[in-house]
Amino acid sequence: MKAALDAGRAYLRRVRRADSSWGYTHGQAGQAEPTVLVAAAGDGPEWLARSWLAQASLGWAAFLLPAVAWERDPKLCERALDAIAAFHSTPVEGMEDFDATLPGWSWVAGTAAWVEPTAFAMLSLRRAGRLPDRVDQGVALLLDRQCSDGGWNYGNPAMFGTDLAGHLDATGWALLALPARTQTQDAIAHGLHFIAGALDRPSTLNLALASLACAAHQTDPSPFLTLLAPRLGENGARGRADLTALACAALATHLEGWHAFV
Amino acid sequence: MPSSDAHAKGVLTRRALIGGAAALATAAVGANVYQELRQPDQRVLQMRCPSYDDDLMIRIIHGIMAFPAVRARARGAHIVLKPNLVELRPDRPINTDPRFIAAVAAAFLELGAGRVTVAEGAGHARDSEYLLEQSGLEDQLRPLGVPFVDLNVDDAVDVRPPHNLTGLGSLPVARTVMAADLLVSLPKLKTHHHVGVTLSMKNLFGTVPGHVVGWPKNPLHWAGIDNSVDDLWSGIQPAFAIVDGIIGMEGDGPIMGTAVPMGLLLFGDHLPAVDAVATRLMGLRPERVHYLHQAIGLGGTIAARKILIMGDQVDPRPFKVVDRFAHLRA
Repeated sequence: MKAALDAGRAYLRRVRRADSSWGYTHGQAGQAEPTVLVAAAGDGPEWLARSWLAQASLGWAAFLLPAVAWERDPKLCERALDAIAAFHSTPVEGMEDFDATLPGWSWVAGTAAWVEPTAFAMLSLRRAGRLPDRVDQGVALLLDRQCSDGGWNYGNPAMFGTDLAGHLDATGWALLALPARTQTQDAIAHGLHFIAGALDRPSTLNLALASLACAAHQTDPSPFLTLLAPRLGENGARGRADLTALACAALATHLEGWHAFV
Repeated sequence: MPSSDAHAKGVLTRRALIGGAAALATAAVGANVYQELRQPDQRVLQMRCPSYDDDLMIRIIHGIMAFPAVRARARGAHIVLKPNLVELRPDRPINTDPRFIAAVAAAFLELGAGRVTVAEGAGHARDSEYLLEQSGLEDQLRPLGVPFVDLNVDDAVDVRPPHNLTGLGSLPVARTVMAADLLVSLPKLKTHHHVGVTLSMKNLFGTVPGHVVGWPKNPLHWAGIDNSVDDLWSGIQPAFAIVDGIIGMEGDGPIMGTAVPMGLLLFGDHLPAVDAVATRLMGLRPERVHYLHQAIGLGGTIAARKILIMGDQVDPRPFKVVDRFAHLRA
């Protein structure tokens, strides 16, 4: 596992752009999501692309920045926290299968709340200790959106009366974002049961998020990490900086004893 | 009991109404005829194909060769194949079949394409690695040396649709798509619970990078799915479409529907015509599918009389649709 973590970090170091940003793929212009996520890979202060992150238009990736960078650079995160605070999803009336009027965060302004951007914002607010009432709203949304199988779909638990299946990646983010409370206890337990399915449906994203979610809720992530480690090689995880960074974050949690998102 | 005057007035009123209705009907028929006449003539090739293992590449080569201009353009060109990959469920025919995608790639290479790329930006499932590995698509493409590009993380190019139906002005479209010499839409033959049917035009949603608009590309929904479909088609103008109708999906598509063994391939260089023929073969009326009807005003052809059907005779097989699209039934 250590060799995999080293290989992943070496890949990220190699594909770092001259302006300190990362594209999703090697050679691509700097993109917000991979550049933010690389900060979760944890290899020292140089991993935080401060100047690039301070100047770039981060869009929804700003929701995730304080979650991974708050301790190292609170000043840099203030702008992202302002964006999170100012953002309000657009409610949708009349959905029968779930309450689409619950406030959360969407990918882009003027649209409905979705599981992942809501989870990103919740992680950042929790990390920075800001706006607990907005975190509570996010908790309410995630509890409302949990699928009958225990996982989370990207947005809806059902559509036109038909239950939708959970997805492992969305479930991973939802579990990471949910604080352990009496209110969330059952949802987290069901979610952790669901996410064990990553062992049967392996991918870098599924395994990394499953292990990070388990580690966040005091559940052994090692079965996922055993499958995850061989996916990191000379080209990181499929030559993708975002996936490589998440995989490194998951391995670092186990090998180095710190958690990038909690 | 009404007076005779009132009765006469009633008769007159009814006569006037009947006359007016007849005039309106005549005008409507005239408008329909005019609407049909102004649609450019198009051609679509129907081909029976009972299974994914039945000389698929040879059949596809024959299908492409029925369109000499496409064949000529393909020579030495960079072909981008855009399948419909949504999410993986082994029990449901959600995605364009990997064997079909590989057969199309092999066919274009056989016909002299310079290179072929398969590219998709799944609507809501971000995990393209899982889709590639578990669907078998990666195993199908590897021996051909054909790469896969995840359009969800591709650079975006602003495309200005000529009619701007969404009101968004421009739409972000993946650079790989816009840089292609020849873009080929490879949809699955499916019903769709939001727009009625999803075919070669609706398939273009996957050309919009998720990292710009999020997953499931919600701004396109808010701007109107039908408008977005038409803007993407008129803005991108894909050169060709081949529909995977070997096994289609009916009912609560595009994900929760059920399989329909249709044994069909459709080829065409005008996407509205391809989708109109496919819709009729599903026992549905394309002129009642909003984005298809709307495409007429953008230069699209969907009228049966304006589409020359080549190839095999195929009888329609009525597809089930969700209740809200019952009006699409022929």
